[in-house]
Amino acid sequence: MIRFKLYLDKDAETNWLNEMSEKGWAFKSFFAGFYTFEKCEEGRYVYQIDFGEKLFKVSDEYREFMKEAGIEIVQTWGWWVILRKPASEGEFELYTDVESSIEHYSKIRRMFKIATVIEIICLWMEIMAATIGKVSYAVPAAFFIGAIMIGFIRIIIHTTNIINNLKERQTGIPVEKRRNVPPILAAGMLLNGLAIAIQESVSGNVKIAVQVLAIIFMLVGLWDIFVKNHK
Amino acid sequence: MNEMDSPLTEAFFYILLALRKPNHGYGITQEVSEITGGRVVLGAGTLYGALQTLQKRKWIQVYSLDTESRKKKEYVLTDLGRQAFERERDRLEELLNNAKMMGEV
Repeated sequence: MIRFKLYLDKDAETNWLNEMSEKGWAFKSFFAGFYTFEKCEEGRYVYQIDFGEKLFKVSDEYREFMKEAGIEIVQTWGWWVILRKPASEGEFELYTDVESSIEHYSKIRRMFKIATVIEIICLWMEIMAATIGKVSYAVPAAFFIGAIMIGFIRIIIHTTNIINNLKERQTGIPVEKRRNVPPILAAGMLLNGLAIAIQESVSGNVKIAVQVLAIIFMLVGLWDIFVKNHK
Repeated sequence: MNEMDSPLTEAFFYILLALRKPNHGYGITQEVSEITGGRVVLGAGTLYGALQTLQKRKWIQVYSLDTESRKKKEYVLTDLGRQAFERERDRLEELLNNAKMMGEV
């Protein structure tokens, strides 16, 4: 059986794989959003997802270590490593103390931050292309890149909340939690799409004004996410 | 503060203790779980990360790498690791001694 899903949240993905296993479907392989399952006895495996050290592969040492622990490496994808262990062989958890959990989620957050920066560069190039020449796909591309960025930023916020919860357990001091994407960032992205959409119909000055406003909004929103909440 | 001087986490403390004699990954988990009455259970990711860090600090080393015999990879404490453990024990002893003050009013 093949299912198509896009996950950015590895905990939600882990839960889903375990639910499928409970229903008698063992995850077997993954390719670009397509999960392949095969029939298994209900609840046969427990799945966990690790964040590895290398892209699309693991070190020999890691492989050896997991094998000796009775854990099977089912799939590597990007930095993700999907692992499983037969439920009959006892509990299967990856990170069992606060320190190593914080390290794990910090690595994940760093990856999404880098990915967001790459998206910002793409968006920048996209704005340039739309300003200089006529690009027919400029508007949908701006919204598409914007949507991906919002997804990444949401997962950065989510991961920051997880890390802050863990730190709270360490220090006993409550940390303020953030729920959503800063509205100013979303507004900036919308304005940016608008600036590209209206460039044919308004004068150059109006367009530049909207564009500059969009960039200021986006920068303020990003500063909020990347710097403010990360002490 | 130097990382070497900061208190050990429980996981690091017990991994070092379990490696006073050669031991393999699963053996470490088992022993730590036993001597703490199941309170400290080391997950595979936690243990793997700690073993990597401890090797980089040269506090532990690979004891046997006999791939032929299909024996599991074993690690053991180094002199540097023993020193680190002793520093931590001295620190804990000081804490425990000073804790007695709580009883004397």
